[in-house]
Amino acid sequence: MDVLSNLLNGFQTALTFKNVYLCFIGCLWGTVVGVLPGIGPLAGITLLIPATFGMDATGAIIMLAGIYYGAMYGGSTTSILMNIPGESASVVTCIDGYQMARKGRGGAALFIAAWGSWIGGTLSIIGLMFLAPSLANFAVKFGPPEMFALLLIAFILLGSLGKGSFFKTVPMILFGLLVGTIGMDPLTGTMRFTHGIKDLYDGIGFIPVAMGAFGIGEILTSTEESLVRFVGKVKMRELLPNRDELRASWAPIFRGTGLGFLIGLLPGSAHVLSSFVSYTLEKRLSKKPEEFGTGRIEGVAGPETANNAASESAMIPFLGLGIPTGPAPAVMMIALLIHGVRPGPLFISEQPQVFWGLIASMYIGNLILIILNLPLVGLFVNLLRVPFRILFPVILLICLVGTYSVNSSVVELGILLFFGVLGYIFRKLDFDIAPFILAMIIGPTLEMSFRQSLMRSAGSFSIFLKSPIACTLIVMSCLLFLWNIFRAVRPKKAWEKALEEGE
Amino acid sequence: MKSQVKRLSVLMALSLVIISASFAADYPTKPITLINPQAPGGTLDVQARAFAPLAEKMLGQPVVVVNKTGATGMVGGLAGAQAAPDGYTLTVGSVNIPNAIEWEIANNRKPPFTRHDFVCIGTFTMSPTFLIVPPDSPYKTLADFVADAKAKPGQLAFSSGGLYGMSHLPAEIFARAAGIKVRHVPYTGGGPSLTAVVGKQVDFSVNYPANTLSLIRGNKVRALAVIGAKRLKSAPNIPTTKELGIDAEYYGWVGILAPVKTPKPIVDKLRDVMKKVVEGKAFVDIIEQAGDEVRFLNGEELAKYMNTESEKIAKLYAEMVKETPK
Amino acid sequence: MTKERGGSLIFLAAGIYGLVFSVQLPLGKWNQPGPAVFPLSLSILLCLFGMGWFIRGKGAGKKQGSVRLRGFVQKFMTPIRIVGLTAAFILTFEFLGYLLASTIYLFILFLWVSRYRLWAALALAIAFGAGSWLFFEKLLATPLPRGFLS
Repeated sequence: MDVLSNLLNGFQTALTFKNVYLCFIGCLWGTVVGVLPGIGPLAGITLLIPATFGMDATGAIIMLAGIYYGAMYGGSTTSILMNIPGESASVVTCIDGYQMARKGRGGAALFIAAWGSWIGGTLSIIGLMFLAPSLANFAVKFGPPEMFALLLIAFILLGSLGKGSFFKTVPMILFGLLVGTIGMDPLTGTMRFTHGIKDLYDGIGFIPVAMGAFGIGEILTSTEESLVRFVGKVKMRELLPNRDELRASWAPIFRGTGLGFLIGLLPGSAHVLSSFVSYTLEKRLSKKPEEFGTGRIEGVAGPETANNAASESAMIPFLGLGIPTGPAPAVMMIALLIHGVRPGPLFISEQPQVFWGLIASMYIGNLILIILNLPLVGLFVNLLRVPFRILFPVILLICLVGTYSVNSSVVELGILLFFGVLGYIFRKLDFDIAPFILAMIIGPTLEMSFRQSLMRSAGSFSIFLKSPIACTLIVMSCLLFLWNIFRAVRPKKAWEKALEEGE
Repeated sequence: MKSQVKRLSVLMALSLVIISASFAADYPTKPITLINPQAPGGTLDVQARAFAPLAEKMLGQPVVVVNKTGATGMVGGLAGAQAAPDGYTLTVGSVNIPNAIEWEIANNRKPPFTRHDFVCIGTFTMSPTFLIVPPDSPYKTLADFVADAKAKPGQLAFSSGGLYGMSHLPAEIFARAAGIKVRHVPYTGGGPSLTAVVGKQVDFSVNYPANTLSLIRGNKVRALAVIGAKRLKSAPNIPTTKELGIDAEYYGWVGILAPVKTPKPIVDKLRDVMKKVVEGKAFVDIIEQAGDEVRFLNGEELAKYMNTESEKIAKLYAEMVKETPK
Repeated sequence: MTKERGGSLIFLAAGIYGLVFSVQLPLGKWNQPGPAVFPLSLSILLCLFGMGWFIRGKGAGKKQGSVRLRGFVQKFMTPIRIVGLTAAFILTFEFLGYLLASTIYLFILFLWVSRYRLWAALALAIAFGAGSWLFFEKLLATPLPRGFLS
């Protein structure tokens, strides 16, 4: 088939010694950048663009792509081992991943995360290869009404993310949405809740809140009792998942791939969305949903696979239309331009060698990353055997520097500390923080889609009903909402009955 | 006595000259940051990142582009205005800066900075916009479009990359010049606003050649006109609004600014380097590859242009503010 | 004071804050919803949930988990110290510069919280302070304040 021969050509291009080397450097650098909080993939890519100027287009793209994936992989490492999400798509991984680490299964979690990411990424690329142009056309049909409907259902799913009841998670989501409105309103230019503080004009960033609520919050909780933490000697066997865990992971991985691939096509924070939709899906499908949050491998396998699949398919609108939907494809677009390649709808047909070289390098990149990450798992897990009383001040410092490095703002450091204390308080009060952060990230898009839809339709709500996609999703979300309330009210009766029987 | 004072002052003046000359001679001794107030991948980004490595060759120090997005360019603009005036932090300026500032003023708010906080180094481009519609839209010419818009006031909608931004104003100017009433749906950035046209979520939009040309060539959007006075080299078949009898033109300039107190020798050196790079073949090639045209204005010309533009924009905003519901 | 009540207070506080400030924003019209719509509705909902949980959280002490006020400060001494130190770091670090501020911060943490001996704490602080400075400033080229010594 034409596709296969093109792919083989692509591999020929990508498998030159130089290009593999570049891919490796990119992946390594990306992993380092991903593990360190605050310095995200965009900064990493940006720092290296001048270095690519001397290379040919294919080589440059390959290296930059490697950085991007590497950062995605690196982000999950800190989530699992330290309960600090490296980037927004890893927030969900913290929930069960960290619990697994506390039970000594951290190595297994890291392995499954890397493994699932690889499978998700590779399958996603295959899908991309065959379907890029047609999927790009589908993606553009997703306008504000559809986006709003999708996010609505996502938020309702978010309500079942937490360990506690639906009614406890909902106010956290509301709170997160409210915090998300801080800053300039993009549709009218009005400042909301900023009180004239310049650093708040752009809203409260993910990094200070996540680092604070998860990182500092975790440290504060842990230091309460004593500073001695028992971390046993880690045997090689324990680094790998056991048979049960492997068996349990297959289904989530495949579901995660499909889910991630589809959601990744959509504009906006698709990979965050895909990670928590996958999590809630796994929780619902599981025979033991109440164990989610205590260290179920499905809660790591699904989301990690989904977010990787999503970051691959996020390239589709860019490859098919030349419109970058996120910062990483954007930077790649520029790298292409600098090297004389013009992205756009004609990109695939006009520059096949670059396109297929890119595709081939995606496979190679994913492969390199899993080869890199597996031995690194052992390294990272051993890093954590450093006594906690030395480790925690260093982690605090890294959180502070990471936050500062984004915008050089002391106000953000204050936000970091504030959310650290708030996260700590919420933890003590048994309220879940993950829904709060996720709501904060996705909330602005929800609001904007709603308002854009009304602006388009001059105030008529029929715009939601006219679109089949939007309509279906809204109906589904209403049903889901009612179901959630039903479940939240009912189980109490069953529980009470059990108590009575027990007595 | 007098001669002593005279000698002293000559010596002081001389030493000042020598010091500032050595300032310029030494500059730059460390990497230069170029703040881009807009999102990665956008019009400004492409030009700045094309410029950076070429300038680096001439200056001998890395030139790093850093995106500081937010508030339609205000966050980055503010950072640039408040940066230390030592020539190591420059801003990729664009017409969005006077756009944003005048909007604040028109709404009776004090802008966090103004164009007087900057000194102009020069421009990369000064491009007009295309008026585009979805590829299967019923409008084949601009006349069709205007006629339909007049028949349905307030029903057609356009997408823009952001409120009062570079892709919003040309549409407003065009609408007023053509005498039509249309609705505005803001999106966040050039990319999403283009996707909206491709996906037929809106009826039309205006955007710049760098973003739009490849979509036009790939038949994902149809261009009805260029909102300006001259046809573009890269799209010679597309008529201009002036030709078609509509008096609308708008040029989104993109260039480099420095904090106003930057010492003159450094400013001069930057202007010199910029002129050489921007007019050099390597840069021109990249820009033309993207579908745009290079147009270099030096610092003083840019400053004059910004002043006249700001007045025009202020007048436009005064009208727009009157029409906005409160 | 039960846990649910504690949470409800936070929600009420956030809701009231949101209410106060979002009523000052323009509501807009149906065909152009203004910036107040979303925050206002959220604040109202938050207040409702806050009140709801406040009432529900009324249960007597032990069954639902409670947070006692006696011995409160004693138990939370360590976190309080950490928070206080971090606040001090944040306030002074642009003035002192990263290297100095981080070393002092680490030193006090090692001494006061981790309870190392004076020399051990000092050695660790210098090692990690200088090490991190080298890593971030030199290797990663992160912009860090120089402080008054530069």
